[in-house]
Formats: sequence, C-alpha cells, structure tokens
Amino acid sequence: MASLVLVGILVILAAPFLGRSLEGDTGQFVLWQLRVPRVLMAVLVGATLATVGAVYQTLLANPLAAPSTVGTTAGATLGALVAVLFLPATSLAGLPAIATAAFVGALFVTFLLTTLAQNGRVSVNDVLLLGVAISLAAGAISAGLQYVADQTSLAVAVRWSLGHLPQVGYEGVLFLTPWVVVTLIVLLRQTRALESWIAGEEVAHSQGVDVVRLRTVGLGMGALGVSAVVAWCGPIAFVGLIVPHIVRMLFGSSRRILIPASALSGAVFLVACDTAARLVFPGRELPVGVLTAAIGAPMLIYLVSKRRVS
Amino acid sequence: MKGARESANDPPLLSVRNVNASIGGVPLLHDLTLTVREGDLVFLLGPNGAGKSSVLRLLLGRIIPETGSVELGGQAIARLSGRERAAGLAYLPQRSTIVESMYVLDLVVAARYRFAEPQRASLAAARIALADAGAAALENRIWTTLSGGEQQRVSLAVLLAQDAKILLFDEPASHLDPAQQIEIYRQIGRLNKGGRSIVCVTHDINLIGRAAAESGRVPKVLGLRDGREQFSCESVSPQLPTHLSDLFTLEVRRLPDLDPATFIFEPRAGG
Repeated sequence: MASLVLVGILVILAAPFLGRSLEGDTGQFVLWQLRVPRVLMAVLVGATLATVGAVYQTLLANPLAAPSTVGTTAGATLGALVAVLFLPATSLAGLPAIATAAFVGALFVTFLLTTLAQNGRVSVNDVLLLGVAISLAAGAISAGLQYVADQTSLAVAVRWSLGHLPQVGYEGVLFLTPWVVVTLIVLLRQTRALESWIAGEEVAHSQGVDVVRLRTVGLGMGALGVSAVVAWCGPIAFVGLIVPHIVRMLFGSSRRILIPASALSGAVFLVACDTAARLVFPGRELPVGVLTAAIGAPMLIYLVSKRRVS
Repeated sequence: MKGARESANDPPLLSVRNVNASIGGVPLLHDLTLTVREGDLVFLLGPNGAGKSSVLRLLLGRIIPETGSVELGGQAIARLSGRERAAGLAYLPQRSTIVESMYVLDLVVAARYRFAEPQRASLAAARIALADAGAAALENRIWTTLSGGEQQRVSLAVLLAQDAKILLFDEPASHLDPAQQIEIYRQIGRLNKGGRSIVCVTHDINLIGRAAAESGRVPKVLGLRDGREQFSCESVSPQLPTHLSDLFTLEVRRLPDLDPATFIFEPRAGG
C-alpha cells in the first residue's frame, strides 16, 4: 500500500506539468498562476469530499450516502442562485458574492443539521430524512427561481452548478485551506469511534463511544467542510460517493484505513479528473463533474464485477 | 435483590434503586430495584414486552430514569465518562446489525476503544480475546460469511476484548440451534467462574442450569412483567415453579431427578 501512496503523490506532483509546454514568462504564469492553484484546489476539494463521504456512509449506515445527502449542497446552490439573481455587487467583504452567498446557504443547513443531530432523542435516520427534505425543498425553490430568471443569470447559475476547479491565483486556496485542514483533522480523530459505530449505536455506546457527540461532530464537521468546498467550487458530484467504495474494495472495510485512505485517494482522484478535464479536448475545458462520473463509474463497476467473479 | 450471601462490607458493583422510567410518555419500568455484586450470576426472565431489554438499556445508561438511581461502583452512571462506563459494563445484543464486510479482527479491535493504547497492543489483546473465545482461526474471516455459531464465538471475543467487570447478555441463545444454545450458556458459566459478573436476559429457564453447572455459583433469577419485578429468588428455590407459573400464566413444574434443573411449561387448566 505504501507504493500506492507514493504513486498517488507522484500523480499530484506531476499534474501541473502535463499539457501544453511551458515556455518563458507565459509558461511561468500558466504554471504558477493557473495550473498549480487548480491542482492544489483539486487536492483540497477531493480530500474533503471523499473523507466526508466515507464518514457519512459510516454514520448513516448507507452505502449510497454522499456529502450532498444531508442538504448542504442544495443549500449552497440556492444561496448561489439568490446571489446571481438578486445581488448586484460582485463581491461581498472581499470575497466573490456567489461564494459568500453559497457559503451562507450551506452554513444555514449545517446549523439545522447539527442542531438536530445533537438531540439524543432523534435517530440517525431522522437526521438523514431531514437532510433529504432540505435538499428537496432547496431544490424546489431553486427550480422556481430558475424559472423566472433571465437568460444571462440562468447561464451563470447553470455554469456554477456544474462545479469548477480552474483558478487564477491563490485566493481560493487561501480561503479553503483552513476549513479543509480543520475538517480533516477533526474527522480523522473520529476514526476509532467510527469503527465501533459499525456494530450499531447500542454496541458503540457500550464500548464507551459518546454516540450523540460522534454523530454531531461527524455530520456537522463534515457539513462545514463541504460548505466551504461547494461555496467556492460549486457542486462536484460523485467524488464523495464513489471514492470511499473504491478504497473499500481495494483496502478493506476497517475505518482505520478507509478514512485516511479516502482523503488521499480523493485528492489523487480529483487531480486526475481535473487534469483529464483540461487535456481531453485541447483548447476546451470540460466541467470536472463530467470526468468524475466518466472515470469513477467504470472504476466502480469494474471493481464490483471483479469481486463477483472471485 | 436479596441474596443469601449479602456482605455489608462489599459495595455492590451495580445498584439500581426504585427506578421509574418511560420513553415518550410510554412507561417502561416501575419501581425497579436490582443489585449486582461482584461475581453475581443474574438472569432476567419474563414474557415479551415485560421490559427485560429495557432493564439492560437502563443499566447501560441508554435510558435515563425519571426517579430513582442507577449507580456503577457507587457513581451515577449518567455522570461517568464513556470509557469509565465501558470498563464496568459490556453488552452483547440479541441480533447483530453489521452489514459491512468487516474483518473479524477489526471488529474485535474496535472493542478496545476505551483503552488509550497503541495499535499493536489492541491487536495483541484482540488476538488473546479471540483465542479465549475459541475463534482464533476466524481472525481473517469476513463477518458476513460466518455461520451462526462462528458469529456467536466472535461476538464473545468482542465482549472479552472490552474487558469489563459486568457482562450484559440479551437473549444470547435465541437464534441458535440446541447444541449452540447449551454451549453459549456454558460459556457464560465459565466467564462467571473466571470472575465476571453476569446479567443475562434469558428466554429459556432450562438453560440456566447449564451456566450454573460451569460456574459453581447459584444463579439469581429475577422475574419481570409489565415493567415490574414480580419475584426474585435463587434458581434452586423451591418457590421458583410457583413464581414462574404466575409470571407466564402457565402451569410450571420442575421435573424430578433431572440435573440441571428442568422445568416444563403447560397451559393452565381451563385456559
């Protein structure tokens, strides 16, 4: 496994150098102001989404759970839409207006979620249902707004909702890094408790885990990290859903390995997808969400079929 | 519980006093009093819905009493940290809800949660627990591929790895074949002989004797109905058949000359 980690790190380091050759000052600009920032973003976003996906799949005991399941992405999308339609300014408090509004929308959902998860009388399934309800409600409001929006706003909103990693400069990296670092550190510290959680809440409780605190921290911290990621980059689908499954099939179900490996694999996976998005059609960028689905789904199908045969 | 060998100098490990508890307005337990001393072997019996599982959840601190107290080692359970509680009480649920393809060894290692120890130590302790449970060969198997008997042995290893003073069992034999049923109760008896205190919800009074034979102690039996204690006595008490008859509204007789004690249940005349 150590060799795979090494390969992964090499992929990340090599990514900025792939593509059109870099020459002279233009080359330096392209490398340091365009490519390195987006690779760093892919590392931050990929690691966060995959780790949160692994944690949610454990907490909700549902292999179909993903970072978007609890509604933060829907809240962010709604916030972004409101910004596009109603906010004339393009920047609020120094940050892009869309990002700020999306962050606020996602944070609001995170707050609702954490409040509910903290209530010991509420089952985990009810928290899941709340997330689904919020997703649907926010989606409905978004659809309504899109219906009455003008063409330009609509185009901007749709573009935003496809997700975007390309960056100029390091503003995004500087914004995301603290949120991502805090989220990953907190979630990685829950690994042992999550291992006990697999046998059920009663057993986890009897083994000494504070189950209400675990689900509050797991769901809430995960939602916070996802809020920051989606606020800046828009929704990037499939990473949080697929990467934990791929990791599980390669390295097994122990959380001790699954959670950290998801973080690293998510980073490598998204860097690979983003690089492919940049190179597949020279001169034209594909949205990274297309690549995550196009690469991730066949990988998952292949691994599942290989398991059936053996 | 009034036992024959009460020693006023030994503080009870677990003390439940006059507990009333309900959930969402539905009353679960009424005026429940129960004492577990070091080395006790206690069995809870009763019809379905009597509140037996609720007693275990109360002991674990999952149900908060409205009145009365639940104390572990003299301290209110609700005030203990998770790890302190886990040092006192370990729990084997009736049914496993694990759906993921977990390796047996990882499941047993997870039970070491309360210990702040390096991974090496957890692995070593887990392997010892598996060996004690007779499941050493299952270490690298996947839980969902195990047979019922193998899962039972691994569940026991998980319990042992936690290394708690009191072991709580919730109908441990209810989904096992007759040979496995006898074996798990004998295991419980052996654990008791080795110094662990046991509180076991049981659905079959006739299995109690298997545990008693291995343990060498006389088990205490507590009958529950509608969340209330109906009786408590030793398993060898001559009153037990009468108590059981009232508890289950059946005719219960002890068959003579059988060891371990065997009871037979028959419908009441005219019923």
